[in-house]
Amino acid sequence: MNPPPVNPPPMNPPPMNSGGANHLLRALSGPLLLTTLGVLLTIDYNGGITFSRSWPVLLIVFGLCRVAEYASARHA
Amino acid sequence: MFAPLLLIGLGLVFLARNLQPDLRLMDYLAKYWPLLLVLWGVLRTFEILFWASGRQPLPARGVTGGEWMLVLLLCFFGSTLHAVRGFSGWFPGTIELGGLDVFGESYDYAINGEMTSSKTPHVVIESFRGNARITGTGGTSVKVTGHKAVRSIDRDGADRADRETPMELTGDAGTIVLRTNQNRSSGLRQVTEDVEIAVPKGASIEAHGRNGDFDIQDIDGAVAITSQNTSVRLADIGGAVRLDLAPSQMVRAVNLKGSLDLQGGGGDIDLENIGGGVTINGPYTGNVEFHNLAGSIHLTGPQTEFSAERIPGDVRMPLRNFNASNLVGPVRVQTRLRDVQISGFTNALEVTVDNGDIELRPALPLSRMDVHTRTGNITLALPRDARFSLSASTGMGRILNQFGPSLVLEETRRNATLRGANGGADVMLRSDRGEITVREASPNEPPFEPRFGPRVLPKQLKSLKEFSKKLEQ
Repeated sequence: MNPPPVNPPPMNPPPMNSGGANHLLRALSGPLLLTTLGVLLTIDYNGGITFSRSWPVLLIVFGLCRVAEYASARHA
Repeated sequence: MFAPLLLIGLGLVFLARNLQPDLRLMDYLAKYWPLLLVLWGVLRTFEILFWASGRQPLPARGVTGGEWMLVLLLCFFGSTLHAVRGFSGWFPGTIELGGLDVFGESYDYAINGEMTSSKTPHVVIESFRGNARITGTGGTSVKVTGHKAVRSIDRDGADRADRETPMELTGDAGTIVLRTNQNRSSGLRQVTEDVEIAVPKGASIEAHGRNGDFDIQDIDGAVAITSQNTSVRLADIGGAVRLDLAPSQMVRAVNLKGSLDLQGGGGDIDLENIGGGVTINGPYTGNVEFHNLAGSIHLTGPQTEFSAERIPGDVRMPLRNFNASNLVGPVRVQTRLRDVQISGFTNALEVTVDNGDIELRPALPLSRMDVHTRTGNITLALPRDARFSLSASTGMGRILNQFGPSLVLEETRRNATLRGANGGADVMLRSDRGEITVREASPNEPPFEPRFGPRVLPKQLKSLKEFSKKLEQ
């Protein structure tokens, strides 16, 4: 008996135009936040600014991503 | 792509561990695990850029909800490992469950130190956590002996914490500072100390700390302790004592020549043979007892306020009870929810109770008494030879005159008054809702027995009796 087919994750159309650039920005915001989180924790653990003080950087990065998406959508 | 690289990385790490057993792998992992997040984010970025350049479909979100959950779990375990290995205090302070330390085991280290001092040095103990027994001796030095307990996952971490927290004796002959440096210990490694400190008898003590006991005896100077979650035992102290404990587990003081100022609230208080005035501020929910206080006492709490000029006898304040014998007034008791029993008091008395019974048996000569309960009974036992000008009234209840015909009773259906005067002090008894009894005190009547335990209301008592009868049947 064959296993049931697995549905692929939702995909956006290829970035052929500026709408695609918007999707690209949206897709990149998650990894960018993840990288920022890792960098902030690394800085904290190596004697730099503590994460309890630097966490607002995450908000700023998230906000910048949103602004970039918004600007890209307006440009389209 | 992240998952295969993670597998390769794990393989390399364990291989390195197998080839180099001395490699402090967990320490590296504890310190550098956030780089996994960086690696994950960078790889995912390259993945997305690669897909975009190849005009392949892009995921709706760069990091899915499930992956964020994984990130949260990774952060939790990583930060826990970081804290457990002692690199930092990711968690505030230490992890305790009901007072029990969760991580690690205890490692002991000996503590020794001595410093020459004057005969009357001021000894300051800074940031102390643990138990300290401070004893006055005839010498002219401050000598510290004892042991330090470090709770840690491993011996290396405990050794590091021991080196980070050296005990220091600094200052000069007049002021000696004992510094434990316990707050320098990083991470979850909790350092506590059990020390015996021998000081010159003329010393004065100033201590700051938390979580532990102070046991101080045979000191002629003043004692000041500021601490949290602390029990304090004092014996034979010559100077003034000031305790700011928020909260205290237990305070016991015996043979104090000076005053005592206790702040902060807590559990039990037991004071005996205190020469100076006593001031107590804060909510104390345990058993409070005073025996033979030569100076005045002022107790101020959220439920009860009490003051007296002297206590040659005893005051006991178990739950919902205020029991006192042999007090010198003016005495003032104001309480919300206690039964008040006072015998053998002299000078003026003022008692105000919101909900509770009052039993009084004054000593001769009688002084002014102003007694009021909103809900509760009042019983006054007067000596046969007492001189007074009595006025007793109840808003709802009856008055029983068991003293004699010199008192005149006036009763209506709901309330009653009792009056009588033979040229003595004013005695005013008022109960808004309750019964008043005035009786003659028999000679050599013993002091009132304290009422321990919760009061049982008559209705509850009746139902309890019925229930026990049914059980017997």
